[in-house]
Amino acid sequence: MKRLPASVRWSVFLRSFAIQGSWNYRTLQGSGFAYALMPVLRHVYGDTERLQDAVIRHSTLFNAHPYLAGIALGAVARMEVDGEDAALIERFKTALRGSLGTLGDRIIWAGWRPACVLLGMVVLLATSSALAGVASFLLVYNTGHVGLRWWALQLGFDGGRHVGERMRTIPVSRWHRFVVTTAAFLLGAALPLIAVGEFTESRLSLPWMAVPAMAAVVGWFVGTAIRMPALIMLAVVTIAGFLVHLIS
Amino acid sequence: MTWLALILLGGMVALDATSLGQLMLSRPFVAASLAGAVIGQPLEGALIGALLEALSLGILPVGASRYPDTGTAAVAAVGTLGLAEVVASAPALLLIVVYGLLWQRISGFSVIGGRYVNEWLVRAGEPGERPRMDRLIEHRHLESMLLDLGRGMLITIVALAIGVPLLPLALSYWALPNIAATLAVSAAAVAVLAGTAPLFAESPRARLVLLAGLVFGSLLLVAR
Repeated sequence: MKRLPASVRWSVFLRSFAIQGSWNYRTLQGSGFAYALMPVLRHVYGDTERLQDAVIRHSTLFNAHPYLAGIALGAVARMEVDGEDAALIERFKTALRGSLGTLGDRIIWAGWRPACVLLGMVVLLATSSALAGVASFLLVYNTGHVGLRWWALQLGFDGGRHVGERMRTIPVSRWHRFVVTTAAFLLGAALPLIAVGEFTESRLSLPWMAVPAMAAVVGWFVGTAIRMPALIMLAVVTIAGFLVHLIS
Repeated sequence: MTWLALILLGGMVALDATSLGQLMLSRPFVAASLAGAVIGQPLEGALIGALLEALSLGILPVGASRYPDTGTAAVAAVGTLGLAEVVASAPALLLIVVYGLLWQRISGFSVIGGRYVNEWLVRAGEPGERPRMDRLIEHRHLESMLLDLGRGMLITIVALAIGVPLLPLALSYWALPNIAATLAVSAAAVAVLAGTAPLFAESPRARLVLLAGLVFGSLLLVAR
């Protein structure tokens, strides 16, 4: 098995942070994938016509969760280094992209990110320190984020076309359950801190707290669909404020 | 100088949201805190950001979905508050939050527009048109990111240019009692935040954990 130089691996890693730089509705992350893979392609093909062909092959439609796209990048890099057939690489990318998108959406966008955001919000509201809130969020979140990007790329480099088998051994469900359970606790902690309305010089008195408490119960039962009615309510109160001024 | 710093921050946050990094500087409460630091009111910025965050937490950017651009809007909202030099009263908070939500939408449309421009850029680099595809792809990619930076800066400029003179004027024409503004903001934020519970508390055990968190949060509140 040929090895990729460390400089090439690092270059792909750094470029993977920009994989969505030219995101569009036609190739989605396609050209970003080619951009991130470019150091590998240049290493493998040099400055030849085959490099141009390889770039065109890798600029076609591709989409995955941006943090997990490194798995595909690493595996495809391995396959290119090993001289695998172009049609096989294309089929491999097609097979992998859907699962990487679904997995990332579930464990990152709907798990890790909201959990870390809630942690930051609780720290902010409990300490009244913007620095503590923001720093705790950014530090915890990005330790996981950057670590995940690096791990994903190494997994792909090492696994090559067999990366799918390695992915099956990762205890994703157990890890996800831990993250969302933590998020549930933090969500519970954030609710009273937000409900008290202490965003200006005064906080809501206890009897008035019944209003956000009822809103929380309604939100709980309605779910994420509550967002639009809540925004409409905010707009109605805002307009009412101007109407009262006009009438009086 | 403050204007310039806010505009640059708006661009940087727009870039972070999708194109480069995704380090979450574009989360509303981070972007708003940074904008708050720029205007010299970090805590006010962070608290407005926490409200915008609570109202946005359930938005998931899955697949090719279209969603509001929350980061740039948060910079614009907090920047407006600071540059307009109004006291962070309850009505000001309500108007700023609503203004931020409005710009989330507008900026979200500009993201969609930017993606169509990217499509055109990528299409312009299709095979046969240029001999050096590797360099062309890299140039187009960097151009797309620069455009995104410019988009964020432009959105911030326009939002500040409209918001800064408008906010004091709007406040002078707003006549409900302060408690109405506080209640509206608080109830909306709590309702939307509680609406995300099904994402985390599917099982009876997780619901118990959420209730434990509720008790913990209440104790924190009492202890303060």
